[in-house]
Parts: sequence; structure tokens; C-alpha cells
Amino acid sequence: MAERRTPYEIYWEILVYCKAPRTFTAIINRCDLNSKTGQDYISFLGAKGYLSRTVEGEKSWYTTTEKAGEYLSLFTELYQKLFDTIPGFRL
Amino acid sequence: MTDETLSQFRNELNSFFALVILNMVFGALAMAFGMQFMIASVMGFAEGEIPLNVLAGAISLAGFGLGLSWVLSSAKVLKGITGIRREYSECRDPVPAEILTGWIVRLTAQYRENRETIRRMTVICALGGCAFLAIGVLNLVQGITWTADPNASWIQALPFIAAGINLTIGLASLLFSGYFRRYSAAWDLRLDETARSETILERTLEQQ
Repeated sequence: MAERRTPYEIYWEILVYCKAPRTFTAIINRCDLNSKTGQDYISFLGAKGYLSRTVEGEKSWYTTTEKAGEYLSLFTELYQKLFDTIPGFRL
Repeated sequence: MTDETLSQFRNELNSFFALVILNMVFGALAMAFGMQFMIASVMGFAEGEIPLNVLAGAISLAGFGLGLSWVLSSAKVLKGITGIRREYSECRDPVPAEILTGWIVRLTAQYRENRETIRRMTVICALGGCAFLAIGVLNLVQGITWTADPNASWIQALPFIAAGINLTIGLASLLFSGYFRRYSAAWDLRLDETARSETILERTLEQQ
């Protein structure tokens, strides 16, 4: 998805995807990021303690931590509210 | 909350999909009729009614151009929502909150991406509608002029048929323009809301 997303939406996508351990390449492919921006987002989330890194041989695996739970549930609530509170469009 | 959200999401996705498809169909019709009336107007030069035919030809040409940009704009918007719609139709109930949120994020990103195209479509539909109403009125004038001819035959009824088609396309286009305006209004409100949400999310990230 290369459309215009905000950083908060990208954080959410990465965190949801990494609920199961993922490699860096898998994350940037799935979230449609380039290496540079992907690294920036992952480093940010890692620094916040939302992503943990496990090294196995030559591969690194990233996994969402429990600490990210608050962000994930808040994000879900806020975005679902967009369809609950704002009168929608219907033919 | 997810069920209500899902229901509204589904209604909106289906409504918008239907609107874009119908819009595309009418855009294609606009192109086809624009071309047809343009040729008919050029052929009408031989019959001597040059001012009326030049006017009808110019409006038809504008209608054809609008139809083309109408179809292209619709195709761009359609491309964005078909992926989400396909995933939605393949997903079985109950839809997990995470999946639904993912679709909402994608639809939001799609709107941000296509905001200008949708606004342009509102204008194109309105302009196209006016152009086809104008052609319809010209057809009516032609029909009335020809029926005044004492040697009129059934052929003279054809402008009335053309008027019916053009007036229908014109009115439908104006209606679509209104629908696109409503869709944009709903999504502009949502984008304002996501901007407010960003402040809350930023605060949550800063706390930790």
C-alpha cells in the first residue's frame, strides 16, 4: 500500500504485522516501505520498547512487545470511531 | 462496536463502488454520445443549419473530452478500492477488529491519495451534466423546428429520442456530482478527526 499514510498508521501496521516474529525484509515488503524509512520506523519502535529484536544466526527477527498493546488498542478505537461517529456516505 | 463499524464500512464501500462504476458507465456513454453527436453535427453542415450545428458540435466535443477525463478519473479511484473490496468479500465473519482497522486505514490512505481526483470528479460530473443538458435542450429545439415542417416524417422524432437520452445523462451526472460531494464531505470530516487522533497517539508515544 503505497498511498499516503501517516507515520502513526505505519507504526500500527508494523506492530500488527510483527505480532508474529518477522524479518526486516518481510516488514518492509508487507508495509510497502523502502529500506531507509523502514529502518527509521523499526528503530523508533524499538527505542520505544514496542518491538523486540531477536538475533538467530545471520537473521534478525522483530516481534511486537506487550508494551505496544496500549498504542494498538487506542489506534483501533480511534480509527473505528471514524465510522461510528461521523455520518457515513450511502447511495 | 466492531459490528456497527463493519456494517457502516460495508455500506459505504459498496455504495462508493457502485457510484464509481455507474460514474464510469456514464462517462463512457458521455464519450460515445459526444462522438456520435459531433459526427451528426458535422454531417448537418450539409443541410445548411450551420450556426446550430456548430454550437451542437462544440458542445458535443466538450462532452466527449469530459467523458474521457471522467472515465480516467473513475478508473484511478476504482483501482484503489477494488483491492479492499476483494479482501472484504473474501474475509469470513466474524471479521477481527484488527482486519477491519486495517481496511479503514487503507481506505483513509486511499482518500488522501485520491482527494483531488474525487474533487475533480465532482466538477467533471457537474460540467458533463450541464453539457449534456445543453445538448438535450438543443435536440429538443431541433425536434420542435423539424416538426413544424409540414412534410415531417417519423425521422423527425429522432431528435426527441436523443433529447431524452441526453437529458437523462445530464440529470444523472448532476446527481452523481452531488453524491461525490457528500462522499468528500464525510471523508474530509474523517481526515480532520484523524488529525486530532494523531495528537492523542503522539501523546501516548511520548509517555512511554
